[in-house]
Amino acid sequence: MPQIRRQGSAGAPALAPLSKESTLAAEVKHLVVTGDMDTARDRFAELVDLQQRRAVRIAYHYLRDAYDADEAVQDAFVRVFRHIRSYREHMPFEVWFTRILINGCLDIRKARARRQRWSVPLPGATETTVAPIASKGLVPTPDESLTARERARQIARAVARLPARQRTVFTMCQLGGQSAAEVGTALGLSEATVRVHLFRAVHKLRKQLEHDG
Amino acid sequence: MRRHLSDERLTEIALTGASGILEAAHLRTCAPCRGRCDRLSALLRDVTAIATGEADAAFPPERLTRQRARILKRVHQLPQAASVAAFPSDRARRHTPRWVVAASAAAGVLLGVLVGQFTSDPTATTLPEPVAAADVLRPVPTMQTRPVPATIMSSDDELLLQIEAAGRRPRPATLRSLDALTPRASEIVSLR
Repeated sequence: MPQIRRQGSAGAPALAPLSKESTLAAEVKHLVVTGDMDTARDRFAELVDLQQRRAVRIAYHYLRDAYDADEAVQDAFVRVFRHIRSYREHMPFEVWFTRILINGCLDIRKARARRQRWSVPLPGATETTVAPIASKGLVPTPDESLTARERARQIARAVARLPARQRTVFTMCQLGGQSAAEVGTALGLSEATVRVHLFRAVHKLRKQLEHDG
Repeated sequence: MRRHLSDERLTEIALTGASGILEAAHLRTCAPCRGRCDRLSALLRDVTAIATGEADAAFPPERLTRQRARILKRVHQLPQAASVAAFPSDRARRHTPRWVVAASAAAGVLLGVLVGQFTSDPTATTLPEPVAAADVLRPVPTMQTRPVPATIMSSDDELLLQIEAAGRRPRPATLRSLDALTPRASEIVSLR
């Protein structure tokens, strides 16, 4: 197992210390390079365990369709394994992986938009159901449940209305739990630009929800 | 710190939970700023709760297990890493002079033209074989249906891309009248 050292380059954003995922990814890379594919696959399974839930949340939030999100997450993991040799050990794995995942989501959205342009919508097609905000351990009354459901629907609508870039940045920061510097690295943007997109996204969400509420 | 905090700073604080010493002191004493910050934090908490709640409802543990199995199966099916091919030796990499390549190509073309002139007969034309009426009226054999391959999705996408690209090109004048007669999908929907 090679010794992994964090490299700091001029102008590169300050990133958090390497995570367990990054160490594991570096190990998988080393195993693939040395040709020990069986052990590499075993280690990769551990990597999937660590990132799967987070990946599903991001993909679902981005695509708002369970089948598409499933496909996007599967493709992203397979792509990671296929291109593990190009993983740079000094970068956080989560950033690299999220970038692959978001690119896959964007491709699926483009393909979906293309199909929608050429197909006639079915009569009676309804909006996707939205889960209400979970109350903290209390059993909600029917009124509370209804209000929570309505609020959830409003928030989902407001997020869906955000422009693509703002939505991506917001999703990665808020759901992916990544810092502005990490999102900037993943999307090829400066940290300041990420902050601007994030601020605009929150501002728009707030205005829309105030307007709806 | 007497001035109220800007929306930008409040968003930053609500998102990261980190604030400077002066900002923290201001938030403790300024009720309007604290209220704005609390509302923003609540909004972000709600958004995160909604998003994670939806995703977790759509992907229960059984579904995640199935997905994990499919990922690992696909990874297992990936072709093994190709073995590294040795670089060719210096002798094999030795370049042939350009004039030799050009002369060989010219000789090849000349030879082709000459052979073509000797072998082709300009008076000979091929006519289609007469078709018997019985052959035309013979019933078409029934076709067996097969399951649609997985690659059909990507080819569908390619086809739609080609159609859209064709739609962006200038339309030939001869097809305009035909285009005007063809109903649009949106018109059919609006008639329903």
